[in-house]
Amino acid sequence: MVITRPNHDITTNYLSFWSQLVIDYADKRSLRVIDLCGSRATRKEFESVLRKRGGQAFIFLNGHGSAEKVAGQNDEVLVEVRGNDDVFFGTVVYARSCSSAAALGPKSVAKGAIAYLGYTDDFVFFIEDECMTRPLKDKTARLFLEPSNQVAIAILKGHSVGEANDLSKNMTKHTIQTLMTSETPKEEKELIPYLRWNVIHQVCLGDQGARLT
Amino acid sequence: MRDMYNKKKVTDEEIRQLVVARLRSFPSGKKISIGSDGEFSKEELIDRVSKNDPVGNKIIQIQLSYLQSFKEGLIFEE
Repeated sequence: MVITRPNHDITTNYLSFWSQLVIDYADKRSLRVIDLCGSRATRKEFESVLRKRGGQAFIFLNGHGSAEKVAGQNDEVLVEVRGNDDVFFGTVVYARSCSSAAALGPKSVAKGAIAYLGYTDDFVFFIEDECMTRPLKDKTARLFLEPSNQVAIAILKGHSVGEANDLSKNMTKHTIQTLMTSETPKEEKELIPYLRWNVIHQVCLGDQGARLT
Repeated sequence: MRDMYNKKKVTDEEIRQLVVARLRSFPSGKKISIGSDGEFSKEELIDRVSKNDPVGNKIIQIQLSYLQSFKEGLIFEE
């Protein structure tokens, strides 16, 4: 697995911390991880790693994005449409970033990516003020970031990309159903529209049956 | 006959007011992260929605999408 995890602001720092759980899982299974964390999440390093990789790879991108690009540390563009969107040739990609599955995803698949999972609009999540310096203790962020981690973990477990996408979405749907019950405080119910937003914009493009071998 | 076509249209201002009212129930002590736009508290979101800026419009979009899903009976509209 190749993972990018910039950490230059609150949002990317949260994604970086929560991605550590996926790395821990890969380590437990003795899977090779190339971790482009913080200042290593640059375009030069990213392209270099992808060029050197042998065989099929899983690429897990964390960071800010838009329809046509995904960024790394300090929002340096790592990959973009009409730039280097062929770097994903022969890979499975999961982009935990805003909107990139709207344009970069389809373009990557057209240029040889096996599958591209991501979001066709903004990826949103909540954070608790008192957990900002300890993101993994944040129980509200967990409701959003654990299901997104599930995409990567399911792929590493050997599920097909389509199954991984479904497992992740089902986890969020289950959370929504739990929050809808009458025992849930009204304030917590307000999370539902935002959880739902991520679910309806999470897509899996390309070969749904593909899995890591 | 004319009354059939006389349905009251909801104005943008009314929609903004509806979303602001919903945001007043937004959890306290929490912020929402909206990509590279940053993180926003309840008060900041209410301000953004009232100003009708891009962050405010995104919140309106999220809330309206949710409310409309009830009308259509398809909460996950897949």
